[in-house]
Amino acid sequence: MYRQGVAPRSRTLRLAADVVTATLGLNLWLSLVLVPGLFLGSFGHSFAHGRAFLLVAPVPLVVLGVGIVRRSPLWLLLAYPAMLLVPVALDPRTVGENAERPLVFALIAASLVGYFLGAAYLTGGRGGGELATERTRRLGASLGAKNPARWRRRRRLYTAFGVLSMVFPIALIYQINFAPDTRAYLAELYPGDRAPTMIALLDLGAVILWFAAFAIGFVGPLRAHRTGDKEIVAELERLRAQSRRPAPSVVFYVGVVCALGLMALLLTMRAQGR
Amino acid sequence: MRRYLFEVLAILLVAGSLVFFWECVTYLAKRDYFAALILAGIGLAVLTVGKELARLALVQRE
Repeated sequence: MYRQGVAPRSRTLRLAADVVTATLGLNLWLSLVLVPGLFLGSFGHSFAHGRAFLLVAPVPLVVLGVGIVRRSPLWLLLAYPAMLLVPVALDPRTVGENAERPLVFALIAASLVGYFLGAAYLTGGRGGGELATERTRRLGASLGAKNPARWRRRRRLYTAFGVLSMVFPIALIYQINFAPDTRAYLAELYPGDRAPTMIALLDLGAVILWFAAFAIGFVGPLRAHRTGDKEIVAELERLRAQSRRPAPSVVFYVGVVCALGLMALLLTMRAQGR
Repeated sequence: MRRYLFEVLAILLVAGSLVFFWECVTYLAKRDYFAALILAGIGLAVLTVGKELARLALVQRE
């Protein structure tokens, strides 16, 4: 996995980063899946249900392992947390019971935020996540440690985005799980055992809403700042070359064929009286 | 000369796609959903062709 020429100290640092990421991820799995599952009897709730939970519960760990081996932010920051929702969806009581106890909820929230921060830092360049195959320069050093005003503004924005990324989902989850008005309203609408299931569904809705808000309002502006990114520069160059090509592209011919085909279909339908 | 031809064709096709979308809405009001779907497809295809011709007109201008 490691290429030749990478210093032993760098390998040790990367190994330590892997261990820390694995520990943080394991802590999250224990808090969210294993311990609530054992306490609530999710593994033996009924024969079929218990077996399904037993099969699904270790899957997030496999995803975590793959993410660590591949050192991939996509696997660690998206696939692993998403896979944690599968056992939770199978037995919503694991979330419902935890949501009723603020201390446990705060502990799980802290574990999740800690995991995200740790995994993001350790898979990034400064955490030794990328192989040192190219020459890199720290921002401060590259600018002669002058720290110009535009970068100070940019850093303030990044910090604000980071803080808001924690505040937004916590506010949504609080409003669903702890706000007295919401709880009373849900208990009135869904009496008995249906309220925890509804809360779990609303939590899922909040997660989806947050992903959409994050993609549009947070990642969008950050992407616009990635002007020095090699991938984006290459993509822009490809688009520029494509737009300057004097011949029609495949899209043109596909459009013509589709338009004519659909018109023929409509005319045939009308001729047959449909 | 080709540039003007492409520009006129692009305008015609983009305007034509709007006519197809208008017809799509009319068919929706008549609850003829399948025909409306086909018309929306035609509108999108015509719009794509118009966009491509507009790009070619810009290339000719440069």
